Amino acid sequence: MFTYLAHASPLHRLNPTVKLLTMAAVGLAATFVYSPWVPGLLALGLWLTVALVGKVPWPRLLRWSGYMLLLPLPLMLFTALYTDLSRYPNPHVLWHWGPWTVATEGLVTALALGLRVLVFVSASLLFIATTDPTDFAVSLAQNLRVPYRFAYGVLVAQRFLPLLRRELEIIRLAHRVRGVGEGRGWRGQVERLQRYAVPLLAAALRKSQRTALAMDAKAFGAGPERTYFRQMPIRRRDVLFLALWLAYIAAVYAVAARLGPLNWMWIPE
Amino acid sequence: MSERVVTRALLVGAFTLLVYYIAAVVRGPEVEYIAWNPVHAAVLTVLGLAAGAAWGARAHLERWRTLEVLLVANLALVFGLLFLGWTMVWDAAKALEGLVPGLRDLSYGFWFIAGILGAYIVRKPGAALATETLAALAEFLAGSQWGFTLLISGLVQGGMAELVFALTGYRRYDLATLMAAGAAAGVGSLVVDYLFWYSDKTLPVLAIMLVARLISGAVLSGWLGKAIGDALARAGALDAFAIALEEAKGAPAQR
Repeated sequence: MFTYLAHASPLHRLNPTVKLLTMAAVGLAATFVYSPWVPGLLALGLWLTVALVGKVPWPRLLRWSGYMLLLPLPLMLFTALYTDLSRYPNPHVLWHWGPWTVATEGLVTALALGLRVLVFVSASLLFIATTDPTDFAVSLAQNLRVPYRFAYGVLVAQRFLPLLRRELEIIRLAHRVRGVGEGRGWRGQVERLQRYAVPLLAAALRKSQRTALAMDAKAFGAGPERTYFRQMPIRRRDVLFLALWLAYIAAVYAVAARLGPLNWMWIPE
Repeated sequence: MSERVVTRALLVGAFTLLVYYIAAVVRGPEVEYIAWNPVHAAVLTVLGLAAGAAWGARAHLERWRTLEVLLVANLALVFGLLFLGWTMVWDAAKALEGLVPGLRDLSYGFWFIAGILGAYIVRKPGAALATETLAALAEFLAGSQWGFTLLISGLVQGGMAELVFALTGYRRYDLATLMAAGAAAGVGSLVVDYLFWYSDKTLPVLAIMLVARLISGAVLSGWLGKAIGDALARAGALDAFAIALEEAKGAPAQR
């Protein structure tokens, strides 16, 4: 869905780990309350940051935004129908049929959850579009103390992605040339998933065995530590980015508390 | 070797429960937002168990062979993409929600298969944790709607599966163990989802969800993971790994 955009922007120059942790903080901030204002304002802030600071080209940003707005709709419908209304003293019931009851309280919760999804997706967009995968792998090893062979392993796997796509195409054509038809709809897709899984996995495994042999031959992973060409220190601008977002989160909570009840999720029974 | 994973899991789990108990009960009910709630206590304890297992398993990852690291990374990538595709099945299963709310979670179990399959093939401490977490990372970077929450889900699901393998001493990889690991991952998944999504659901709905995830974790991850692993081994793609060596001997190897 989203892809890395290799252009220069202030967001690209941030430390990937700090960027990811900041996005996690924003996401967490969106989960503690059921007031729709909090995730709404957070999503707006993320979107504006991506557009103005991240310099994502407008046509692409608009296309992605349209997709992002459609994503939470199924969840919202589900929530509107199944919110636990017994928690509210006198819910404003709007519609009732069979097992389903739609009330104002349920609709507000649905809106809050839908906007929560929007916050998560916007945070992913900000991170993915502006983070070089190699920088991310190096930063995982240097800043988060992930065993470096795993960090590089992820990077190698990520480089395999186009190869796997070609492999999938070859398997697909091989099945077709032997006369295996392709079903339609989601049932056909599940059936195809089953048929492609084992050959695709076997291809990926064979590839990783060859690569591992080549890496071992060059003494990758021979020592417990390694040196790096890329350095991913945590700079002042990273701390500033985190601090600005924490301040924005605090401001959002303050504004939302003025606009309506926050509805903390850990309500005592 | 497995003791560290188990002891740290129990330690962190008990510590989390204790902190919650002190905050909710000992300090008294006048603290407005923290009151004793058995569901919250269970949620926090499971989170602690998974975090402790992950903590205990991490050090073991340093000693893996390059081959195993790359296998796990590649497996995680492929399953990360399959996980993204599984969202379609999850959406289609929404129809079940009309019958019994929570029944849809019968389709949830596929999302733990990476950790189970990784552990089944590599058979080393940390395999379930690493594969499940990396698969979640791949799904996140591919742009899933669940965003960074996947990383937490991956860690907790992988940590819970890891705990089951640690309890067997990393010696047993039969169907029963794999199904138990899948079910444990199911518990972990519900805990994280409760935190992010389902704290407004009624207790009966949560109970149905839990049972559905135990079943689907055992079947769609445990049973299916073993089936895929055996199919790959039959195809000869796993000759360099513990699964081929140990299955050939007919008995689990000593470590």
